[in-house]
Amino acid sequence: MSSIELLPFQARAAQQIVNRFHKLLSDPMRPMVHKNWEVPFYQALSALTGAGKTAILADAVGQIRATLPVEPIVLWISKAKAVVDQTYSNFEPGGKYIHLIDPFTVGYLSELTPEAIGDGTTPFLVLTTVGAFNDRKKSDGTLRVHQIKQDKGKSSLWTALTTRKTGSGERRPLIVVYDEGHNLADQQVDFLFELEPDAILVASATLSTPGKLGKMIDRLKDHGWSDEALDDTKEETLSCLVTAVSSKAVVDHGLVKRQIVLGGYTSIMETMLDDMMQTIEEASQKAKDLQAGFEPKAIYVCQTNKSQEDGSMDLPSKPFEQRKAPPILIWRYLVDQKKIDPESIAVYCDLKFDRGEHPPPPDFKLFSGGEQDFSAFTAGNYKHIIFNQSLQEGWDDPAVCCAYIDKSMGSGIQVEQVIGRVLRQPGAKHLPDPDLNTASFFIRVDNKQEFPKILKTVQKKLGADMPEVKIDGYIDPKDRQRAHQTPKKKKTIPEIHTDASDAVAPLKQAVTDLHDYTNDTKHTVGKGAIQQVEFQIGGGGKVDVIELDTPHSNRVMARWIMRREMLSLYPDVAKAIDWSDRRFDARIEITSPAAAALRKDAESIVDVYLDNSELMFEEENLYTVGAIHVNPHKAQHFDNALHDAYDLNPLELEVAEAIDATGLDWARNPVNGGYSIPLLHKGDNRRFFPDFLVWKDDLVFAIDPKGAHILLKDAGVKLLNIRDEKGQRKVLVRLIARGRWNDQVQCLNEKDGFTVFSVSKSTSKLKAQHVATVAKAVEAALKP
Amino acid sequence: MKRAITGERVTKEGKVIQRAEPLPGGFRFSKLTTKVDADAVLTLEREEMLDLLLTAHWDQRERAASHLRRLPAGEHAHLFAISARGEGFFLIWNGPDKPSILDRVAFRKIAEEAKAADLTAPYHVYARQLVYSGPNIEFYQIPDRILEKIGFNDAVQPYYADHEELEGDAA
Repeated sequence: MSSIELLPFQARAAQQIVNRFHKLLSDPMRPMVHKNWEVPFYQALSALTGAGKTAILADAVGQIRATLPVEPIVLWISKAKAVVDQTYSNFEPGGKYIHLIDPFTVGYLSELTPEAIGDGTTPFLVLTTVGAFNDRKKSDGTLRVHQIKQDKGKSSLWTALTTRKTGSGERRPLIVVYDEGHNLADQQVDFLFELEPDAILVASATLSTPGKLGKMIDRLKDHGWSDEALDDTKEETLSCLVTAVSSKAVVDHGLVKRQIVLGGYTSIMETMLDDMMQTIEEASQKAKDLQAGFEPKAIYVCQTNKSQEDGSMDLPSKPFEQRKAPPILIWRYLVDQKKIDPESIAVYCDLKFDRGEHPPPPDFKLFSGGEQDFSAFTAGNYKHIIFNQSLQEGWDDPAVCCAYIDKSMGSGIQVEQVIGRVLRQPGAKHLPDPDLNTASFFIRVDNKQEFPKILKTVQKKLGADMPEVKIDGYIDPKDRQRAHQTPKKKKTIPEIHTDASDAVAPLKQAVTDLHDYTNDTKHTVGKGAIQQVEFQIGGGGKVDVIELDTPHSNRVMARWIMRREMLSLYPDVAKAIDWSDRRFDARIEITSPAAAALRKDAESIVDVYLDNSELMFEEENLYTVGAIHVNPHKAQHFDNALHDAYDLNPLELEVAEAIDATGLDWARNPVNGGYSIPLLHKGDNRRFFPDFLVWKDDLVFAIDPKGAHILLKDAGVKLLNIRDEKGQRKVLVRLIARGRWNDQVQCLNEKDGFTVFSVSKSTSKLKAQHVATVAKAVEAALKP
Repeated sequence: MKRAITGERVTKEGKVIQRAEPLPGGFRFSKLTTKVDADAVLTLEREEMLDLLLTAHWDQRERAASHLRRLPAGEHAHLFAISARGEGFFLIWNGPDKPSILDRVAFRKIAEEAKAADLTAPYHVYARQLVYSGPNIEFYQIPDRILEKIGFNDAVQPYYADHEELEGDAA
């Protein structure tokens, strides 16, 4: 579908930003910068690449807009033009985030006119690079936004944006969104502060903000706002300056790749590219076989004009075949030797040619970063992309699964930055073959000692941010081959569905019981924003400021409020509700008591759904065990497993050895991309990935040696009690915990043997069976 | 349009001759005459609903390749179209007053139809409610997803056109 639904953690993060914005807005003691300007709301969104920062920020401004009495202007800033263009295409009709910012008219800052600013009926979202307004020579009007156009009156766009008064004299709210992790320079901040924004939203991983922006934030801190990244509770909206997204949620939802494999090569470029071509061909075939919905791509990162052999400068005056520029060498090898269609190769860098004497071949697709280049480049959907740092700054493509890093990049290459560009998982969904959840790097180094350093740096930097992404490295290319393990036998297991048939009647009742707010004018009204309005008093041009309490914020549909709440709790519930009930057409203000009541009702409905849902195995929907990735240095061979070897932690290894000894077919199930079972509870951890699958007669046992804690919730007990409509059992989940536990899931002695949790076949009650050894535990777990 | 059907083309000299195969026919023009709201969608008959679904179908991921091959009416209970990638599109809809729920029974029927037509997962299913969610199901809710596809904003627009008049005071 064109629109991407927000995931629960994304919806929550956006909601938190909106709620905090309103907290400051309605604070009667909100500090002022000067007489006409209140200290802007500030919120840093701390999230990893791939977490959906753009989606969260877009949703946040969309909702802020819905709650403001005057249509706002959103100034969306990025550092690189490539990022601005990418964001623009996501916000255009047909783009993937259009539904989040739908009421906004989207355009570039340079297209905004003073007339449009004065038109208070249309919300605007305008995109720009920092460079478009950041210029010392502003008074000369060198940049378009600062220019005073002769035919457009006396003021420049920048001035009009600073005043931003509507025809009826109200000042339009201005929200600045800075879509980048890097800190803004003081000079850039100065320019932005000239606009006197009402809110500043920053996508930043660093929590310390130096300089002038930091000083502004200090005013909020003096006012009691904290830079701790705490989550709001249902009862309280906290005065915190940071909204943090958990990296685990990002990885668990399949938004980023599961694994990064770094290979260090001291061989020549040609050998490396051969290896890489083979990898990408295999991945392409798998993507085709698995209907993955994307075609794997490769990127080649190199210097533009410097030879990688001797560091000498390339000469554009030479014929194409004699050029030493790395992009040309790579291009020629791909086209001449590997017979790759030049139409599928893009070269994105500032490569010089003597167009008169020695032009490039006609099918050499060169993009040098001009105004139109990026859109032409993205439209071309190239499979091989040769580039330097200039594209690297902003561009990313989830379909990239291979990256070649040229020696010309030198030892200073920050591999972790390139990783950011390939980290996103295509379709935000892990696939059954691990190769399609992996980004492989082929790094050319001078000597083997250099590579461990690179690997260590990457592991340190990425490992801290996202310990859930596996980072492996190898120097011997053969290790790469050994890492990939395909199953020796085809084995299937029925997928688990959530059967909410029994919830239909109670859900219908719950909707019927909802209060009808369609004709309610009392509870649907919130305390709106305090708006400053400038009025000219008398005729002398004297400007004064009057504060008006505007009680009406924009109204939204009851349907939208409830659906959003469900999406942040358990999205499946929204699909089980018939939203065509007329009561959902009630118009409600977000800050009203009715909205608060409806959010509570939404949560009750989610509870009704979960209470009345069961897990069922479905024989018409089978999961087939696929290939996995293991670390060859830690791999342990097993005789009866579907794969030749696994790398396991100590407790897993103990259990695996005991399972292997039974002689039954079994497999280690990888987290994400592997077999999973829904967990019927609210929260981000919504799927359970059992560690081991064991086939015994016509049953499949899903065994997990570390999950006892989930039994404390109803969802855990339901997990152990999967049946079909006739009450038959097929997939049996068993949890093994170290120590002696009781039926109430309390650990009595953590050093005493093992406990196996299952549910009684007849009573469906949880039972804990204590045994002395791991072998006995596996034996008990495998009893039907 | 006429030439597309007859296969006639204009030559460089400006003469009209038949140079391409005439198209075999089978055209159908559907025109939406009333304002589309939830009522308008929910009162459609199955074939009318299919017209609307196929018009509204636009897959961002595939763009040009997003055409669906429509199957003749009456062949299947649910399956109505197949995508270029060999995935099936199913509609659980037998008119405005009939239940439209993707439950276990409906899922099994869909799996059966998919198997018979040799289709690959996932199954794309349109229905009013989903109560049997699981892997390999792409669910599109009626009328919500259809309204969204035709440019409806569920945050600020009512599902029923007769609620529209209130908009004046709300703005």
